[in-house]
Amino acid sequence: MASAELLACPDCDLIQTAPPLAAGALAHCPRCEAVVARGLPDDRQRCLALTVAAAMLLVLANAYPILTLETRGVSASCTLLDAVQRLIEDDFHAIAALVFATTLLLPALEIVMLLTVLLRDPPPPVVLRWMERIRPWAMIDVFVLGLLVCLKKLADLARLEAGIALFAFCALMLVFAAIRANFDTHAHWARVPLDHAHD
Amino acid sequence: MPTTERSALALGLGRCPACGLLARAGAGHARCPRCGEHWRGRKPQSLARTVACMAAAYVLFIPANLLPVMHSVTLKGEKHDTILSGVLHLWNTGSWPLALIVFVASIVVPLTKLLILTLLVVSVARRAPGWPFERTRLYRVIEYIGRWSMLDIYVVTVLAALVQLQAFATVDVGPGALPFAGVVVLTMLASRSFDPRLIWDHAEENHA
Repeated sequence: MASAELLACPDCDLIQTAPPLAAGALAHCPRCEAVVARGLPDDRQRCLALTVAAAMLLVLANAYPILTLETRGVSASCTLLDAVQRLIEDDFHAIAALVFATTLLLPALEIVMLLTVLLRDPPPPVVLRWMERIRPWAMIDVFVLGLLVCLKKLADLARLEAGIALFAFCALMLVFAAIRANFDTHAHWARVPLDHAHD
Repeated sequence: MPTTERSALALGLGRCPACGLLARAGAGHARCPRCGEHWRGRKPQSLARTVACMAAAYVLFIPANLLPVMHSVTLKGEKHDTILSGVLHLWNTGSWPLALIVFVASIVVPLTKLLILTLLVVSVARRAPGWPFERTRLYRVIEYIGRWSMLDIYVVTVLAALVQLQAFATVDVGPGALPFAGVVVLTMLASRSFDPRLIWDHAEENHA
């Protein structure tokens, strides 16, 4: 981050200045304690490596089954897409779309957007805007917790085998968390030139 | 409260909601010079949109909890589980940590979100000046926890896909899943359309 800059708190609109921050430091609004600035390592290499890892994990998470169930000679397994397809077959189109979007489509989109921002100079503002918008709707972490609940529920019913996809989803959750800890949105916005032709 | 504290709006400035740029607020409608996002001083029609989403969520909350979200057929018989009965079943079979997780994520979180949002909306509509810091903190909490209510949707989806062992057990998604998903999505939209800066606008008026 550069020198102290004037900004408005996103939660209470207070005008204030944020000092330059060391990596890992946070600046809080004096009035409402919202986080107004972060000292993030502007380490594009690290973010790029993490994003590529996320992409590979996402592929693994969908190519392989999440869980395999076996009882008295009968077995069943499913991938994420199997589950979505099952919802469509049962006429739950809206829920199928919601699950598909929050666990596959939007995380994939987030990865593509991250790559675009990290590799293009200057980063396209449209991409940076939408990244922030879709972020809360990419719910890999909630999905992983859901899978763990399923695991526990099924453990009594049958013999369970955790699939590759299950580990891939867990790892993906951690990688996304690491990306968010390292990706300095503010620094990337600073690379976008001001264009008064928009006014 | 020190009188030197001023909001951006009061100074004729505005913060772009997309890229955070602080710029001079033009009359009415403006576009951010950096990212092209349309913005006004506050989220447009924040209260109206929040109330609309909340009203719909309140309405859907009833079928979401009354209709079963899961049908299961095992050797023991057929069961139709609502969210609540599913929680009780988990509790009775000894998985009380799981029961707690599902109870919190599927019932406590959406209900708490709706009640707190109602409180926030009413307080802003009445221009209440009190406890702005606490109200903002409440807002941040519900913004964060909202997405975790998706938990039960994922659980039911995966169980229905996996447990298709014809002779022994089958699980199907129940009709309650649809209104429940609706409640989750609507409460997320509701808290996104609420502008917490409105809380401070009214707190500032009374202290200036």
